[in-house]
Amino acid sequence: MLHIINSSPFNDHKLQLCLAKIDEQDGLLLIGEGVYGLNQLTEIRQQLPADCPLYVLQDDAFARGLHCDSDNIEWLDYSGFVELTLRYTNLISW
Amino acid sequence: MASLAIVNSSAPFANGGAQEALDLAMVAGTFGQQTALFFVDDGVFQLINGQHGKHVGRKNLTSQFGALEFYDIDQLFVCANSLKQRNIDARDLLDDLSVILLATGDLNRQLSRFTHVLRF
Repeated sequence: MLHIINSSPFNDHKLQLCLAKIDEQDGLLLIGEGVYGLNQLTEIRQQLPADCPLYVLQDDAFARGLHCDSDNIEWLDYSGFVELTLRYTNLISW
Repeated sequence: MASLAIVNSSAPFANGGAQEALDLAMVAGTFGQQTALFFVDDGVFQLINGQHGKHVGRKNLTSQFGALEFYDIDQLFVCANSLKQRNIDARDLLDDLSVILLATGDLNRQLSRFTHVLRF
């Protein structure tokens, strides 16, 4: 399952609710306002299962002036985003 | 004398709030109203350096902040706690904009000095 977060984790707690349910076969994708999760990476990593990949839509991050030095993030462009949604059995948009 | 505090609590591209707040600030300034801007909660994201709105088809707000001084708006207050919660360092903020970082209590005291408060 691919979990998609599109709201700022500092503005609501959807990301928290998601992290409580996500498991190691899932993936987490940050898009739109959700990319502000990059400012909370340590906390996210603590709760994200070890094998669970973290994806970020790069245009949304660049637009907001966010970047991240962590090499454990998969940065996607729009076609990568589409391709990703096909890789998972289903999607849940929080 | 009437004075206006505009509280920015929205991230730059979250909704139209950030732009509306700026538009209002400039209108108020044009009509000679004593106006100050406050940045709290996700509003502090408006002040991050290196934004490129064109990646999401939006106009950068940051270029417009430079115009504020022409409207006699020179009081820009930023909630230090909001920055800390978001792991934003003062160095990550726009370098050509002069802002005042305040702790919550001081921010509230500043806010209470204004007769009108609008939140975006």
